[in-house]
Amino acid sequence: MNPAAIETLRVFYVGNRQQLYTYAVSLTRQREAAEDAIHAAFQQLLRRGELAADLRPYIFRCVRNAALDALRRARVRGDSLFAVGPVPDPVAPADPAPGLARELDGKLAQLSPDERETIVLKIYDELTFQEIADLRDVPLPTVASWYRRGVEKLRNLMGETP
Amino acid sequence: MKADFETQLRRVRLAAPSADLDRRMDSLLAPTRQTSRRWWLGATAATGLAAAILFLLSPLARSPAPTQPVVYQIEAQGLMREWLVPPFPKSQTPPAVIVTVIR
Repeated sequence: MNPAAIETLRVFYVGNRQQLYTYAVSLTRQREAAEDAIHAAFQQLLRRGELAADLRPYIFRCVRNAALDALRRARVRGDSLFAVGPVPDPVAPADPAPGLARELDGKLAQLSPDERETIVLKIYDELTFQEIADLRDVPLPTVASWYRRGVEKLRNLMGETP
Repeated sequence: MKADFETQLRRVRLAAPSADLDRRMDSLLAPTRQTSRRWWLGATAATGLAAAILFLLSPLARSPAPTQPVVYQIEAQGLMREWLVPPFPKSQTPPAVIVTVIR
């Protein structure tokens, strides 16, 4: 792969590392497996030699494939994509919604895999519906439907009035 | 209301990737690593190309071209012609033809 493409990947990783990690943990439910999946996905990308025109859904799809492979190999442990528990970094900002993380983690687990994945991609990874549709290779209305149903279920589970 | 709920969801702090992942990715995507690998590949390719050019230009003994048949034309008249040019006369058995070369 030419140096310009490698630099593109490096810049993409630096700018999207949190989103990639959030997505990978939401799929693998295990932090080490999520990090391994991200590393493996970028290794695969380097071997391919050229990058797709629309980079964001393309790279997220590579991470998805690597994460699902890791999930098949490893036993699920149940790590959260949220920062639950003591804050290890002393300079990190205080959690504006303490307790919500644990509750949300449990409620997300009650959604279907498609609904949960779509909510994570839309809210935490800030992908558009079109990007999610490209990543999942499904029609856009399907993605919108997953998101709408998932959010409604989540609101009901958390006792929020619509 | 839905937007408020989504905003509330976004406020939840996310678990961050470890510094170890960043180190692994720095190592994987470092430009020098790719450059040094390409340097070796380029050197190997250049060496192979130089060897191929030297081989083609070297004054190796080439196998001689297959010999072409050499055609000599001779004049034959009279009885000699009868013996050399078919149809051969049936009454006589043509003699064996011996060719000698005089310097």
